[in-house]
Amino acid sequence: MNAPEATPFIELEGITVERAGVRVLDRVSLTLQPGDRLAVVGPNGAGKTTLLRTMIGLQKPSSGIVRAFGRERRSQADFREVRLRAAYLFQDADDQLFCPTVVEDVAFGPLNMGLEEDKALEKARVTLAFLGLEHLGPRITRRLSGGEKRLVCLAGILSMDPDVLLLDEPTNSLDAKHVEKLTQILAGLDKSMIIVSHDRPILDTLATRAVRMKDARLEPAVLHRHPHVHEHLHVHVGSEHE
Amino acid sequence: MVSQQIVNGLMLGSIYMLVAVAFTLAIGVLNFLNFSIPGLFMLGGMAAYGGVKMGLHWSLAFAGALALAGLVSLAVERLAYRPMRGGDPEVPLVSSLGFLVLLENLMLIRFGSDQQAFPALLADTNLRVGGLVIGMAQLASLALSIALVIWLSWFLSATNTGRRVRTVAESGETAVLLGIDMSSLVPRLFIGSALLAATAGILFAVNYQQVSPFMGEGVGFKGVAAMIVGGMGSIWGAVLGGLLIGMVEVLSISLIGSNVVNITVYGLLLLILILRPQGLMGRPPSREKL
Repeated sequence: MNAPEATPFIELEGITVERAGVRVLDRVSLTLQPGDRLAVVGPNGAGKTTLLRTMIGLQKPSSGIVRAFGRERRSQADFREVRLRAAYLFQDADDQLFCPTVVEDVAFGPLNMGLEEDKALEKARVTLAFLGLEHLGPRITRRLSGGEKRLVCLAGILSMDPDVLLLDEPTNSLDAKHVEKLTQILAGLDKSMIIVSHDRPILDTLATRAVRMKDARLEPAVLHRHPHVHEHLHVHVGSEHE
Repeated sequence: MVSQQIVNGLMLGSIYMLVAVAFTLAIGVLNFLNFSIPGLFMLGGMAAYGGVKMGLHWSLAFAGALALAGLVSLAVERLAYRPMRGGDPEVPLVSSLGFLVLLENLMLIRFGSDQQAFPALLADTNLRVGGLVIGMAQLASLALSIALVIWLSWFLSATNTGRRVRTVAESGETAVLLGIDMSSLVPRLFIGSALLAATAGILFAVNYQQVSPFMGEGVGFKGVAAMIVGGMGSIWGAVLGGLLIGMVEVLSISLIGSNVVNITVYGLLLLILILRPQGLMGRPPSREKL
C-alpha cells in the first residue's frame, strides 16, 4: 500500500499577476512539498520575486488560487499564518533590521508571535547559538558587516520556527566567506526552501529540483548530477540540456 | 507686550502641536493624511461641552469625549482606511474627509451653528510672573501637551509596541513579514491619534471657552501646516512646527492685525518649504521615521 501523499506546503494554481496592464506572472502553477528545496532561476524581471510575494500574500493575483499549509488563502488574515510558517529572507538585510542590538532583532519575530519578552530573548539566543552566531548577540545591528547582517536576518526568521524558507537572492552582495557560511547553514537546516538566485554554487548545494521563470511563465529546469572528482548537483536551466 | 504674546502663542501652539502629532502618527506610520482628525478635535471639544452641559462632572465629560473620539476613529479605520489600504493614498484621504463633514453636520444638527460658551473650569486662577499673566488652564494645557508628546516619544522608542509602530512606519510589508499583526496595531494607532486630537479639542475648549461644529477646520489646517513646517513624519518636528505657528499667529494678530493672520501663517509655511522643502526637522527620505 502506498503511503498517503503529504499535503503540499504551498500550491499555486493558474496564478496570473498583472501590473499596469502587463502580465508579470502568466497562469503559473507550482507545488512545494515538505522537504522540497526548489530553485527558481531566470533572468531579471522574469517575475521570480513576484512569485514569492504572491505565495505570502504581498501580491494579489488577478486570477488563480493560492493554497498554503492545506488551505486556500485569500484574505490578509489568511496570509498572516502563512507568513509565520513561510518566512521570507529579505534581499536587503537593512530592510529587516530595526532593533538596537542583534539579539533584540532576532527576538523581534518571536515577540510579534506573542512570546513574552524573556522567552523571546531566550529563543533568540538559542537560535544564534545554533547558527554559531552567539558572539554577535550583543553587537549593535547597524555596525555589522553586510554578510553578518544577512546571517542575523536569517537568524531572525529562523527564530520564528518556519516550515518554509523563501530566499530571495540570499547571496546578493555577500563576500565569498559569508556566501560559504550562509550556504553551510542553509544546507544543514531541515526546512523546505524556495531559493531565487543567480548564484549557481548555492543552488548546486541546496536545490533538490528547479524551475525557470521566463517571460512570466514557469517552465521546468533540470538538475543534473555530473561525474566530478567530488560529486555535487548542478542546476541546468531551460534548453541547456534539452 | 511681546513676551506676553509669546506666552499666549506657546499656549495656542501647544494645541496645534497635539493636532500636528496626531496627523504625524497617521501619515508617518500609515502614509495616510487622515482628514477626520480635525473632526475628532472638534468632537473632543463639542462632546466635552455636551457632557458638561448635561450636568456631568468635567472629568466624566472629558473621559466620555475621549472615548467617543476613539470609537469614531475606529469607525474611520474600519470604513475609510481599511477597505482602501494598499490602493492610492488619495482614496482614504477623501473618505476621511467625508467623516469630517459628517461629524460637523451631526454636531450642527445637535447644537446648531452658533459658537457655544464652554464653562470656565479654572476661572480667575492666573499666575503672575513678572509682568506676564498666565492662566492656570493655559499652563495646565501646555504642561499636559508637552507631557503627552514626551510620553509618546518614549513609548515609540522604548517599548515593543513602539518598535512595532516604527517598523510599520519603515515598511508595512516588512512589518507583516516579521509577524506584526497589523489588524490589531493599526486600530490602536487610530485610537492613539484620535485621543491626541480630542485632547487638543478639549484643551482648546477649556482655554478659549468656546466650541462650535466647525472649530476643527481652522485648527486642522494649522495642524497640517505645523506638521509640514516641522518635517513630515517627525514627532519633534510637529512639536516645533505647532509651537512656531502658534507664536506666529498670536504675534501677527498683536503686531499686524487679525485680518492678516492667515497670510502670515501660510506665508511662513511657503517660505520654509521654499528654503527647506523637507521642513525644519525633516530629513531627506531615509529609513528613519518618527
